[in-house]
Amino acid sequence: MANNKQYWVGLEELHDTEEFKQAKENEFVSQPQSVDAFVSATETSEAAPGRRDFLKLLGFGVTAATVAACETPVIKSIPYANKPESITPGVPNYYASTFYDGTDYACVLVKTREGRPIFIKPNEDSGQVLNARINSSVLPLYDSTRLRGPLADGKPASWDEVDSEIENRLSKTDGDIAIITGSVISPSPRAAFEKLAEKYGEEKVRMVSYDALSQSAIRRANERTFGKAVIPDYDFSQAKVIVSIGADFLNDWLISTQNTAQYVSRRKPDGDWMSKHYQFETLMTLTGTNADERATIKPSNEGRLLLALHNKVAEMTGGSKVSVKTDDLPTALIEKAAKDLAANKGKSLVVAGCNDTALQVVVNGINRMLGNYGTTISTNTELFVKNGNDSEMKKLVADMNAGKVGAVLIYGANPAYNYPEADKFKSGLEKTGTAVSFASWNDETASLCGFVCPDNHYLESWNDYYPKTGHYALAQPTISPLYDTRQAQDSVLKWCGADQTYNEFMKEVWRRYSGEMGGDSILFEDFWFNALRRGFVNVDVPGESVFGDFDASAVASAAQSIASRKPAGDGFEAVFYTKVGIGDGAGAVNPWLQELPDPITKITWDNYITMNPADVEQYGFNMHYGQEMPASVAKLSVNGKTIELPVIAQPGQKRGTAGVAVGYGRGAAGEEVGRAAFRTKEYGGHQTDENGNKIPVGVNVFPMVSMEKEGPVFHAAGVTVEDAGRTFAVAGTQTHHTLMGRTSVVRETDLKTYKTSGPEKYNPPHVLPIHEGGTVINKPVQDVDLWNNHPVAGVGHRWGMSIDLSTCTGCSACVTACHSENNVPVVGKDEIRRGRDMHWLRIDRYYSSDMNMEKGSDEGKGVIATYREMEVPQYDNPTTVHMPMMCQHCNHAPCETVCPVAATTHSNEGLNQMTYNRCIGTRYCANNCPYKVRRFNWFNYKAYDKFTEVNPAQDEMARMVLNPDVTVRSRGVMEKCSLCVQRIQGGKLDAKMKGKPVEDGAVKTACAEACPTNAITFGDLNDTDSKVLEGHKDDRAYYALEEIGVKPNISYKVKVRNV
Amino acid sequence: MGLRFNHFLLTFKILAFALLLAGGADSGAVSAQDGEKLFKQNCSSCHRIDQDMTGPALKGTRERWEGREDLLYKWIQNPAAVADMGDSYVNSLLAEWMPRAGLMNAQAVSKEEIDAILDYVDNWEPPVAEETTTAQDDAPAVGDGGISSTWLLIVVFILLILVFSLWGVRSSLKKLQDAIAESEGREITPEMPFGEKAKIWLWDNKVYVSVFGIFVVVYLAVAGYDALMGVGVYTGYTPDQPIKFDHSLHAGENGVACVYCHHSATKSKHAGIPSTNICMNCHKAINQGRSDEGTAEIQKIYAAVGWDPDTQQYTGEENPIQWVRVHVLPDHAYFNHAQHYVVGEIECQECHGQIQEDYTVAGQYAPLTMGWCIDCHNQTEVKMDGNGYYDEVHSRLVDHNKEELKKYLEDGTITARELGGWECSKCHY
Repeated sequence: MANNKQYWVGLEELHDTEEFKQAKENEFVSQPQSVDAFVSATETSEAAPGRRDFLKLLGFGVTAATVAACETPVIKSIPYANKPESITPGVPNYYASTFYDGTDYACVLVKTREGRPIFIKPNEDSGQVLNARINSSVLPLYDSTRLRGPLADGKPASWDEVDSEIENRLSKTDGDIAIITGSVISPSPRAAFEKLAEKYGEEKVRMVSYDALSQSAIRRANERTFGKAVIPDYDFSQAKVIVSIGADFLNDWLISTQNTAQYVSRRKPDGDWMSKHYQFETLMTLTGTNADERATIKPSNEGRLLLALHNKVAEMTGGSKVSVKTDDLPTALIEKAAKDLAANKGKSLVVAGCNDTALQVVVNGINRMLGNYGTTISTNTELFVKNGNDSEMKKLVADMNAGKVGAVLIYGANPAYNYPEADKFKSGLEKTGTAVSFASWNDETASLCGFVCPDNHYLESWNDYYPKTGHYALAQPTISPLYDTRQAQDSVLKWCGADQTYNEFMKEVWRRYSGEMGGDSILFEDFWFNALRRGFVNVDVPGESVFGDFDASAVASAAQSIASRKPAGDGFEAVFYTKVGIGDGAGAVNPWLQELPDPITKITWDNYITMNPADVEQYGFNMHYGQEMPASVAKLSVNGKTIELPVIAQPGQKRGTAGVAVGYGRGAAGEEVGRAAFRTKEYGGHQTDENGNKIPVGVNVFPMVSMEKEGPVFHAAGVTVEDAGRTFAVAGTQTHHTLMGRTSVVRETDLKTYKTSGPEKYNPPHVLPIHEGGTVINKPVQDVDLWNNHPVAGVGHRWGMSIDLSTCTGCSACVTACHSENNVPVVGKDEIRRGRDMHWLRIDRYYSSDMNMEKGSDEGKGVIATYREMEVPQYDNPTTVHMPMMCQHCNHAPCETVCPVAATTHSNEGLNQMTYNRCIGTRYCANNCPYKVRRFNWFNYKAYDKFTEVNPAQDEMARMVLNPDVTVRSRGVMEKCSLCVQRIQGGKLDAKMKGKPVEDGAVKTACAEACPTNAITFGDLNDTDSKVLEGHKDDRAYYALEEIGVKPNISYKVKVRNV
Repeated sequence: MGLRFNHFLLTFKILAFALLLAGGADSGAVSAQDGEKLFKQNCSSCHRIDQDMTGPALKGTRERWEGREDLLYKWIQNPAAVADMGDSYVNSLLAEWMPRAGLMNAQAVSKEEIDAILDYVDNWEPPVAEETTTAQDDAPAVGDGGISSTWLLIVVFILLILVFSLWGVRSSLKKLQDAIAESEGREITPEMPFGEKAKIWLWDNKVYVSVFGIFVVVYLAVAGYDALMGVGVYTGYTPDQPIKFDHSLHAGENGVACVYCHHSATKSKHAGIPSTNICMNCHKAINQGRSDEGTAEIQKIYAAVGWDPDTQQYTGEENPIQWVRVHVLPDHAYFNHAQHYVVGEIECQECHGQIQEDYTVAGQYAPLTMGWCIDCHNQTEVKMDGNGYYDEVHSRLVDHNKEELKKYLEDGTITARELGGWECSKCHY
């Protein structure tokens, strides 16, 4: 067929218009701007050269630049003039120190390279463990927004000026001198403050402590029941039954790291026994997700629930009962818990999180009935943390407002931000003549103080701690102060006229007490040296009780008062909780913690209102959020205070409640509290409001915490929730919440099945139907292979990991440790929202669903409808599982086979190696990864403006935290978990230099090192005695997505619940 | 070669071990040849044989201590004890040297070893003759190198004269031809432009031209590739340094071990530039150079470390020396000195050249390219002997006897490559 059709470019051509003809003739119009004009505006040329000249010039320019770049760059290399003996460039040093910030306490080891602290790991000798907040604490050291010297009236001043002025004012003031602190557990700082009292008059100086996250009710309850305001040491490792009423003891209750270590030691199904954990709570907390049995209650019902539990226990143990209405309580579970408690008298533990004295008195009563004092609750060991006294603080604020206080010194506290009655405090501060803050940032409180004498970061400081009877710890500087800051105690000593440094002062204090600590004063230097080297001193605890006699009437009257309380009714209630990353707000300045996905919601960079999905539906809020799906914003009002925050549907939360995390909304009045605390714009820079102030991330809800007579209570009734009529984008790393009936990702079973049946029941092998010899037979998946095996099994090293899902609590310490070890970039909210998070290690969290395939077909639902329902987690009380997920280092890695440039290959040690300098960024590997663990550098995070405010690698100071053994990746390359290959290589070199085989446990990945529960075991699978091989051979061991046959080097252990 | 050398080493080790077993404390275990080694290990940082340094020159020690032989042994092994004994010669020594260098450190050497050192010292001859012979040997080698540039210039000049005269002859002939043609009344063919002529010539000889053209293109491509490959390779880079430190004097003539100053090479990834306090170990006493320039350079150390040579005190004013870095590896490549020097037993000179002879301060000897790295990894045999780590790795390799791995063992050696030294993540992470 003849092809004689005519095609037109457009109607213009068809009609052959004038404009078209003209345009056709001038198809190649010369450049409107000539190259000459481009090069030099003054030079005129007759003929305007066109594109070609431009290209020539460009070509010449590029060549010239390249040739110029061939010049050897002159880099200066400056060795020490006088090298300290202990430092060898390239070899890390470890120093024992201690972290304490009022919320968390732990003995740590600080890794320094060339004199710079770069990594925090647990001090294993001390038996203490870390959490995400502690191992991220190295980053704020380098924050360039920290104060770089003292301020007087908001302006930089010299230390001499500030010192003389403050001394002058302190000695002249008529009013009281008050020292406001968080809980101080340090003997020497306390002694230093006492010296201040000596100098300026005992009657005038008073020290007042308060805790932002107050737990003072426990002290008060013990005062009532035992006559002494103490907090005993709780031992979760001795408790066969644990009942927690709203206590998030794995996150923020007393010393949460100690609780975690003890708790998990009894959560291993292979041990002698496994504890049984009941949790009654309002929100879905980290502790709640780990519970065996869980029920939800409204916070106002906690008291009645405790009474009901008290009655049940009393029934079984013969105690006295109190009448209480129980019809709206989860009575079945209460009864079950009571039965278990009574059956394990002396081996159980009841704890409550509520800061309400009456409730804590009832808790004491229950524990007393169960005989837990002396077993799970120590009678001779006392905890000194959380020693804030809310009533004294209240009195001080009143005195300040009355003008009775002449001077305040504020140390380790930020009352203008986190004191519930911050407004009263602020008005009091105005009436106080002299206000001195020791804050490291010019924060909410410091900016209101006349003088700011910035304290050193804890890694630049000397300090000592006495968190519990018999345990003393030391903190030592691991770097000279980066800025012109001075340790607060040095300032105090200076103002006392002492000519001692704080270090000398502290040694003197220790010399005085060294006898008590098992040293003696003659050999004190030796004792001191050893204490400093180890970081702590443990001494035997005297046998005498820290308690007085038990007063049963206190329990009875507390029970009466609870029973007589007016029920809160059906109205909405709110709970203000502590987030794993941000804590009391100190973490808000830390980009690693802002970017850390919350272990429960998986949301980063925000606080929000959590509500039960049913409530969310009822209000008509958006149930889901995602890249292009913002969350609805709600107005939440309590006691006349209103906030607006996005709403997140949280399965497992009590209906009719709202949860909001404290610790956000830092720097709301434009204070400088660190760049990570503020919202960023889409293309970089901070968002600002109409006054030009930076807009903080989230909203501060401390002002909504109600200050009751005895102290703050972190829940409220009479809450109203309204639709604010707008939406707000939130950024989460996981928006899919269930396993959709898959059995090969997470496997779980119950303790009974595990103990009584074989692995075929709880961990059945995957089989594949195979055609062989004309018949179809089922073969275990590991016997079926498309490829040849890598010759790694049994030869040389083969690195692998075993992860126990039973002991993983989801605490996320591994995520931040990985961040810090591997220079993982922080990408900020906008990128996370687009699904471009860079975490090498994530923790997947899955909820159970009500629907399954069998149920769907029984109910006659179609397959699609069934799957759709399986996507929906159970609303009211789903079971939860946390699964750490990183590169599985598959022996048949799907990523390796698709890389066009062999940038990802298999090593002879079983590692799936990623070679950045070879990668051309096709991202094919990421598409082919069944575990979705590969991360692509979409931008040059270390230089692009968009990330200036979030990525520490862009901060001139904070980039000092980067691990010099790990490449900082550039744009356009893929990256992923390397199994900390730099540590493997280091460990091997160490062994070679010693001439010994690599010892099992000598090489640990950052995540395994940081894991407070030892859920992650790393080692050499070719070492026949290694723990990791044991883990791989365990009956509970399985491989994630085993059926696809990629043969990972990472195995998981089936989660066992004690139900 | 590597194999044979290794066998030799092994044999030597076995022999040495056997000797040790047989001889026990027998004095025969320390031979005079060891004297040099012992001298370098124990004495050379403070003593020279023919010149005073931190301590006195050792030449003639035996004569000076004649009659006090036992005291000499004691003096070397424990100077503090001997200093208190009040011997007249010792007192004179102390009077002369104590203010300059302080008391000598006790040396962990046996009597036999002291004898070996003193034998070496007695028999030592200054290496003057050697230097002259080297110079003589080198001279003709320069001449052999090829045609010298002067000759080349002369040849080019002659050729040019030839070309110009031929050109002149040709144009004269042409003029003559034209004149003849004009006289004969023939029409003069107009001169074709050069370009036209060239085109015709090229077309007529297109086969040769094409072949030649291909050669040119290939040559340019290869040259261009080489040039590009050389980008970022700084072999021979020898920048000016703030102090004209002389490796050939320190490491060569004085025989100071490389790791005496670059000690972190034994435990770290960095060999490190020594800090000035290491210089001061010797230069506290040696404040004179061989020339005025040398003395001036030593003064720079004092300025850097804050040492007042007049008062013999540290002033506390430190001004670290700003050396210019010579060896720069890209950030994505990880290199560890300890791995190569301690575990691999690679001599410093393999990568840094004969720095004790050739260089003044420092220059880049190796190209430091990846090709250079992996070439070495391909050839270098792993030093497995006597290292428990490699015993374990080797036993795993042998025990499992995998077909794929048998090839590693065929030639009786295991190279770095065969243990994974060519894998990306061994150096890039």
